[in-house]
Formats: sequence, C-alpha cells, structure tokens
Amino acid sequence: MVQDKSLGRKLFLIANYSILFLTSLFCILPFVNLLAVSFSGSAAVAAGDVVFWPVDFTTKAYEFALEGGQFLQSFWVSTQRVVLGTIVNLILMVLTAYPLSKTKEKVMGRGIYMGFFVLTMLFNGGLIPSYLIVVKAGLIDSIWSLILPGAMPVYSMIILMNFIRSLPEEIEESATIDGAGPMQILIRILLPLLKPALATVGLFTIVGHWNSWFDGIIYMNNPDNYPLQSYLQTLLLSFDQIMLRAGTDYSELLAQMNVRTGRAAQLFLGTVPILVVYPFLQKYFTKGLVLGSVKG
Amino acid sequence: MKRKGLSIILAIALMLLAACSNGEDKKEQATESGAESSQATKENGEVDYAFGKYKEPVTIHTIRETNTSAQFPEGDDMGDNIWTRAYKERFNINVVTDWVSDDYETKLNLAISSGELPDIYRVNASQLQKLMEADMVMDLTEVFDKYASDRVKKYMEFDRPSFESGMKDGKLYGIPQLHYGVIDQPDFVWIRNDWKEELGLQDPQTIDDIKNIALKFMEKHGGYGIALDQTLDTLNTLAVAWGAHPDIWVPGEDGKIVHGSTQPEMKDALATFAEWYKLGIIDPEFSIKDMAAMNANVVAGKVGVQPHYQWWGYSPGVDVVTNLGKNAIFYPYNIPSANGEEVIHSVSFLNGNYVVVNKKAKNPEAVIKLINFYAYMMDEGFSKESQETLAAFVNDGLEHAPQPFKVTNPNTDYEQFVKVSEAMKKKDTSNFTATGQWQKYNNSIEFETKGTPAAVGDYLQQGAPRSAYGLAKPYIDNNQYIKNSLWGAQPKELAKYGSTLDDILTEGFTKIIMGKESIDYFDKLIKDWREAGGDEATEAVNKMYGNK
Amino acid sequence: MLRKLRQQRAFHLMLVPSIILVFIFSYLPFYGLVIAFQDYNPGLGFHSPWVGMENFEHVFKQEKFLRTIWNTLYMSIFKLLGGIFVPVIFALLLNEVMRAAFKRTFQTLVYIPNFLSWVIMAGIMIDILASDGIVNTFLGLLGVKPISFLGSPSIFPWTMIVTDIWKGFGFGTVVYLAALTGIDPGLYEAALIDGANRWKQTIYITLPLLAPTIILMAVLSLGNVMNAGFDQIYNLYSPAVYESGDIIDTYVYRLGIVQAQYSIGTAIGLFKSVITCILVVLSLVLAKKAAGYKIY
Repeated sequence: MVQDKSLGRKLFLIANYSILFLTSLFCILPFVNLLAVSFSGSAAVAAGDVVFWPVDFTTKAYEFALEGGQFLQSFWVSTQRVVLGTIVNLILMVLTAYPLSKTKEKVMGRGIYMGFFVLTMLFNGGLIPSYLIVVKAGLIDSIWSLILPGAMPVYSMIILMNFIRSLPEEIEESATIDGAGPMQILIRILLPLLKPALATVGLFTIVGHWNSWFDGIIYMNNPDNYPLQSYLQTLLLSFDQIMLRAGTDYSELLAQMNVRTGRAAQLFLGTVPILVVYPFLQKYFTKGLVLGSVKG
Repeated sequence: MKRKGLSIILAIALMLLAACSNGEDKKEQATESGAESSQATKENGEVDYAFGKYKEPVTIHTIRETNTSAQFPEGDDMGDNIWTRAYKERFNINVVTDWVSDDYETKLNLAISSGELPDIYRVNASQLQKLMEADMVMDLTEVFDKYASDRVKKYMEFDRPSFESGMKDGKLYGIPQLHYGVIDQPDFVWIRNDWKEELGLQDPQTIDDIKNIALKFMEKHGGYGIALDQTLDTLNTLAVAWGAHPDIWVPGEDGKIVHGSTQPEMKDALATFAEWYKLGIIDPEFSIKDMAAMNANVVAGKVGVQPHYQWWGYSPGVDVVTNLGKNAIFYPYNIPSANGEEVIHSVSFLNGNYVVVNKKAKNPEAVIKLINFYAYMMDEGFSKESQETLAAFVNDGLEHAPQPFKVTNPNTDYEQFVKVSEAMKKKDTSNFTATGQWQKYNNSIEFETKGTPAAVGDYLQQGAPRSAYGLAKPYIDNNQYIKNSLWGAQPKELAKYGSTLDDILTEGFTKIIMGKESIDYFDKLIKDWREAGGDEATEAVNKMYGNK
Repeated sequence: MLRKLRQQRAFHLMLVPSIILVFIFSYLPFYGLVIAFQDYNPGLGFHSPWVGMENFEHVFKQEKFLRTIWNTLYMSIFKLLGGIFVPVIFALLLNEVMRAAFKRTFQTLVYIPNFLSWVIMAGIMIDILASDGIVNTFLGLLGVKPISFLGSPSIFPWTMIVTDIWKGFGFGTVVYLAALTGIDPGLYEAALIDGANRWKQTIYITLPLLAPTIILMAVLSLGNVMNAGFDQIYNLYSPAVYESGDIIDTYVYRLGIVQAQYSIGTAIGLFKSVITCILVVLSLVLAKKAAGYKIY
C-alpha cells in the first residue's frame, strides 16, 4: 500500500503510537502490581505497601497453591476441557453458522431456527433445572458436563455467521457450478477463508473454557475431576477458614500469606497459560482475506 | 428421519417424567432400624447404647464441606483420616463420604432438589426448616434420648434454647451442633499500647475518654482516630454503651420484641458517632472500606483505636505485630457506659448448624454414637487416652475433621479460659483437661517470651494479663448480657427480605454519621424501614419467638 | 415443499447436532421457570406450593428495588455506548500501525485486563481510587481536590462505567480488527489514486464497511443491558452509594442471602429476560428498517 508521507501523517503516527503506548501501559500495570503482591509478605500487603515490586519477598502463596498433586491434576483436566471443548464448539458453530448465513429461500425455516437459538441467549431456566438435567443425563463427574451444556455458543456463532455473510457470493457460486455440495464447499473453500473469524471466536471459547470454575464445582463430586480454576477457587475459601480458628503451625502460614497474596498467586497460575497461547493465535487475526482468487 | 424424531421426543418425555417424579420418592417410609440386636454390652451386661460397638459392620453415607483449617497428614483427607478409621475400629461403622465441596451450601441445595442425599449431613437453620416442611428428615427424639451419652445430654441442658431450636412441635429433627460459648460474644475497644503509654493516657472509663484518646493520637500521629468498616458492624459494637443492641432482636419498652437497631437508644449512639465524624475522629473514608481495607491502615500504623471483636489478635493482630513490632500490640478495653447504666452485651444466635438424618436411613443411632465419641475425645480423652493418640486426633486443626459427627461443648471456651489463665499465673499446667488448653497456653507463653507474631492471637484472647476473655468473664458471670430473642431460624416473613431491611438501616445510618442527614432523619428512617417490611417482620418474630 | 427440503437436506442436517444439544441443555431447563410462580422448597422440588404472582409483587413493592431498575439501565446504556466507541476507535488506531510486531504487542497488552476477574480488579481499584491513591495524587498535582470515586453517589456510576470500559475494550478491539483485516486492500488503492488521504479513506471506506460489524456488536450487547455487571458492582459498591450504584442483580442477591431464594431469583430473572427480549426485538426491527441491515 502506498503511503502518503505528509507532515500531518507523521504527526498522526507519533500521536498514535503515544496513545497506544500509554494505554497499553495502563493495561499492564495492574498485572505488574498483582505479580508483586503474589510474591510479597502478607503484612506488607495488608498495610498496602506493595506497588510494583514485592516487599518481604516470599513464595509461600505459590507453594500453598502448588502443594500436593492437585494443581497438576486439575491443570490436566482443564487442558482436556479446553481442547475438547473448543473443538466441539468450533465444529458446531461452523455447522450452524453456515446454513443460517443463507437466506430463507436457500434454507427453509431459517428464521425459525435462528429464533430457536437466539431465545436461549435471552431466557435461562436457572441453576437447579440445569443441574437436574445434567444429573439425569448421567454426566456428573464426567468431563462432558463441562462441554455439552453450552456446546454451541450462540453469541460467537452469530459473529461467525456474519463473517460468512460478508464473503462474496461468487466464491460459492463458482464451486457449485463445478458440482460441489454444501459440505464440500464448507470444508474446502470457506474454512480457509474464515481463519481470522475462527481465530477470533476460537479465542473467546478457549478463554471461556479456561476461566470457568462454577460448573466444575457443582458438576464434579470428586475433587480429582476439578478443572484448574475450580481448584484454585477452593483455595480461596480455605484462606477464610484458616482465619477462623488457627493453630500455631497455621499461624505461621498466616503470617506469610493472606487472602490477597493467595488470590494474586492464584490468578497468575490460572492466567499465564492463556497468555502464552494468545500470541500464537494473534497471527491469524492479522492475516487478511486473500480475495485474489475470485477476481478475473 | 421420522423415526429419529420420534425417539428423540420419547427420550425427552422420559426425562421430563423423571424430573417430575422426584417428589414421589420422598413419601417412602423409613425402614426399621435393625441395629438393636447387634451391639456391645457394658460390664454390667446392659447394652452400651452410647458407645457400644456394632457386631456387624454398619455403613453410613455422608457429605462434607472442605475444611482446610485441618492439616491432614500425607494420604489423608476429609473422607479418610484418623477419625474415620477410629469409627471403623472402635464402633465398626464405615463412614463413606459421597462428596466433599467447598461450595457446600449450593451443592447441598442442589442435592436436595435432585433427591440425592446421604444418610446423615449437616444443615443450617433455614435448610432445617425447609427439610422439615418437605418431610425429608427423621424424627430423632427417641433415638437421641436412648443413645446420647450423658455428656452430650448435659451439653443440651446447658443451652436448652439452642437444643429446642432444632425441634418442631416438641420433636427433635435436627441435632444442634452448638458452639464454643457465650464468652466469645462481648466486644471491646482495642487501643494501641505503645502510643497510649507514650502519651501517658489512662484506661478509658467513659465514652468521652475514648474520644479524647483518639484525639490525642490524632494530634501526635496525624490522620484519623478510629478505624471502622463500611457495614458499620465494628462501629456498632460500641452501641451497647448507650444501651442499644443493633442487629439483634430484643424486648422493647412494652415487652414486645423489636429490632435493636430501631430502638431510641440507637439514636443517641448515632448522634455521638456523627459528632465524632465531624471532628474527623472517624475515618472519613470508612464508607468504602471493607474489613481488609479497614485493617490496612491499622497494620500500616496509621490509626490507634479500633472497636472490634474478641479475635482482634488473630486478625489484624498478627499482621500488626509482624509489621510494626511486638510493642505496637493493641489491648482490649471494656466498652464504657455512656448513660450511667451498666453495659449489657449483645449475644447473637449461636447455633449455626444442625445434624439431620435422612428419613430413609437405616442406622440413625450410629450417628449418635459418633457424636458421643467426639464429645468424649474432646473432653474426657485427655485423661483416658495416651498423649500421642490424643494429639493425632486434635492437632493441626484435625478436631474439625468429624464435621457432621460432632456437638461442641457449649462451655468450651469458658472452661478453657479459666484453666489457661490460672496456669499462666502460676506457670503450672497440671490442671489441664483438654488439648485446646495446651495450645492456648503454649502460644501465650511463646508470645510473652519471644513476641512471635503468629502466637499473638491466643495471647490476646486468653493468656495475656489483659485478655479479651479475661474482660468478658465478669459479664458472663454476672449475666450482664442479653440474647437475641430470635433464637433459631428466621420466620419466613423476615427471611424473604434477605438482608435488604438491614441495608435500609445501614444506608441511613451511614448518611447520618457522615452528616449528609441530620440526626432527626433517624425517625423518618425507622418509619421507612417499618413500611418497607419492618413491621411485617416484627410481627412474625413476635409470633414465633414472643411470650415464651 | 418436501422436495425442497430434500434438496436442502445438507443444510438441515448440519443443524441437527446443535439443535439436539441446545434443546436438551437449554430448552429442557426452561421448565424450571415455573419456580418463579412457586414458593420453592428444594425438598419439594416442582411440587412446591404455587403462589402465582406473589414473588413478583413482593419485590416490586419494595421502593429500594425500583430504583435499581433505573440504576441498572443508566449504567448499562453508557457502558454499552462506551463499549462500542472505544474499541472501534482503538481498532482504527491500531490498524494504522504498520509494524506487525508492535501491532501484535499492543493487541495482546490491551486484552490483558479482560483476563483479570473483578474480585482482583476491585482490590486494585480501591487502592488506586482512594483519596490518597495514585489518581487523586495526580489530580492534586493539577490542582484538583480529591474526588471520592467510590464513595460519592454522584460519581460512583461513572467510575463503574469508565473502569468497565477499560477492562473490556480489548475484547471488542479484537473483533473489529479482525473485521478490518477483511476489507479489500484494493479499495484503498483505488481511493488513493483518486487522491483521498488516510483520513478520507477512513471515513468513506473503513467506517461504512465496518458498520455492519458495529451494529451487530451493538445489538448483541443489548442482550446484556439488564445486567450492568454484577461482579464489578458487587465488589466495589457499599451502602453509601446504594442510591445510584445498587443494580437489580446486587439487590436480588441480598434478597436471597438468608434462604437461597430461588423463587425470587428466578422471578426477577424472568422479568429481566422479558424486558431484554423486547429490547432486542425492537432493535433488530429498527436496524432492519433504518439501515437495511440484516443481523438476524
């Protein structure tokens, strides 16, 4: 792309970079503060002395979270959940978004299907009935209890659907003329073109799966089946109980670690994996659609 | 395509039916308990109901809440530990834990809805009401009478009102787990010692003294004088100085039960608080601070007066000593009277939990036996079991492992304090009868001699020459306290407001204290409260708890 | 008609798995909405006594509840508007960054606040916004008196709005950036040849082409308008700011504290759903009529 290199443009670029830089800084500072808190002694944190650097450096909060095999076990459960869950989500989303992106001439009753799905975004039966269904389906203590409810996220599907709609019709038309059926068109032609969209909604479902903790707690009876965030959540509650009736040994622990440092360590342990994955997905966002194949 | 559709519809119909039929199961009658025949006998040939071991193994299912104040040795957990093994060894009872959760309340409610409940489990007062209404729990009156040990029966007699709160129409449905004692209840005003000594200030004898101490601290050290939190709970501990009992229900002027926060005496308390706020004594930002934020300045050494509970030493005590040193310790002082009458402390409803037995359970008496065992270990075990055995059962917070299988001696803390304070004076521990006493004693010595921050909690609560329980004891001995008239579950009419009625008052009180409304706003506030549901609630409380 | 169905069967079949799963896990639980009309006792399940509209009456009679409706809408609407404008502007700015490395870095950084839960953010916010916190200190340098961001009923809603936008804008930015990469570069080339500078290009090409995505996101956000962010408000509010900060969800939460009031929670949930439904349908109709956009 040919750039205009006028003075106005240069000034704009400087301003732009400054704004972006400042904003990014503000976004990352809380994280830095949190990292410092997670490595600080509890008294210092309680006094509010910790800003961007640890005070009374200690790794107690991390040790507490990591001791016993529970951490690794739940990490593994979460990994399974994210992988399985995202695959299921993406497949279902694509299979749903494609037909729904058509007009009602091409797909009969399209409007009804759409209403069917959208209604679930607006209305919710509540915790108890959802729980009862999962029980009756025999999914308690199974990883599928974390995947099947919400297997087709409507919000993301609608985003995907709109992306598909924005693709030129000629692409499909030429393939149909060549004799391809809808499934083939979907797989061979559309999917490659949808990469940025898939990466976008894929990221949302990955993050969603990774962060959810409540379903793990209510659908898993055996703590070995807890995903990571559910396990980390249980650590939080334990701090409160320690406060209530502490013995000497535990007071030792208390003196070094409290709810805030514990939470901070928990957040880091729970978030770093995602932050590591995120840059890899980035490259899909920035790749544009290659439309050259259609012109001419 | 058609067949597929039909089978889907069938499957769904079946699921709906299944969800509906939930209700039917509960109408089944409990099967006869066949345990009578197979129990151990005492020396004199009588069946040992309270502690007898079963000849044939008995299995009972339960559920538990995660409790991590218990530090289990390697390989043990809530479902498998020294207590559960003892149940098997000594009683031939297998305790199987169906699940452990740390969102116990939610999980339990879900379990109740789905009908998947174990033989015995622990519930709170409002769940007990609901279960009784739904006829899901067993009538334990006879079983308790026959199998409970004398010790456990004594506990119930000692706090008869709590015992009765587990009953309906005179029948026992939920065994109250009781509590550690009334001596935990009185509150104090905690004052930073090194600052006080430095300025040569006397112990506060009147409410004005507190104000002046705070002012002197402010003069010397800047900032504000008194730390409190946004719920006003800590500030309200001072209200008894004016004879007000906020947040509990007490008999009013004409004998009817009223809500303590609405008493005219509360107006007097608020007027003083508002005055203090104006003078800058009260933290100007208290309204946005929760407990942690309130404590932050205390721990940072910016404020020296804090109305608080008997457990100040544990939190923020430990952090204060860690951060500021042993001499920065705060000592408790009795809340002085503001109106010349003696101060009566407020006592909240103490019994939080009840043990219930599923109507379908086969061996309800097994539960009683295990409860007897707990009481025995805590109170008699000291003299009858070896030191190591006892230590293995109660050290490291393991005394909390039994969870649903326990009833606490409602006099524990009082007895403990008496023994510990005596021993501290004479440095003689020969009189100890329970393990808790050792722990408190050792920690108190630890702090006295070495100033170890972790030990300051026990020290300030019991072992110090000036300790929380030490100050509280005379109030208990002289019956200078008043119990919440609402001694049990809340009546429906009150419960359906949740905390919103209280919130109306908190919101209003905050405005008065901060000077956004004048003190006369109090009368309008109470009127609003009454119209918003306060009257309805008051009627209901009187109906349920009045005139006994 | 059947012949048409058979022709289209590939499309309809693609939808089947989603329909089954959504039906089982989202529609079946709808039965639980009856709790809104019962005096629910978990032990009695759906056989609990029926009370008709009593639950609704009980809550709507409460004066303090009525003001939460206003508070909810007030904060929601501004959050929604900000939640559209800020990410769009930011995506446009980010799009001007030519160096891929910087672009990717900025993108990752601004997404970070999204990962932090409000429980953690609240602790940080309280510190930063205190009267002696960083923000007020900075304002002091500019000669401004300390502002009580969290304690003043007039300021509190705006604190919530601004911090929520800050925390969430990374999400929208990602979506808009993905959309921007889909714009045919050829269009810009043509415009440049016609003499349009970057600014004109933005107004006449970028924005119109981005408009469908913007409207889509706006309508999807409408689905959230009755929520106003429980996690955030719950962790940051206090009795002092109830009059402007108490929202429907926090109020219902406090109503339910004593007895896990499923009846009331479900009743209000139903009320919220109905209102949201009306709003969403209205906006869809408006979007179609006014701009010819078909989002549905």
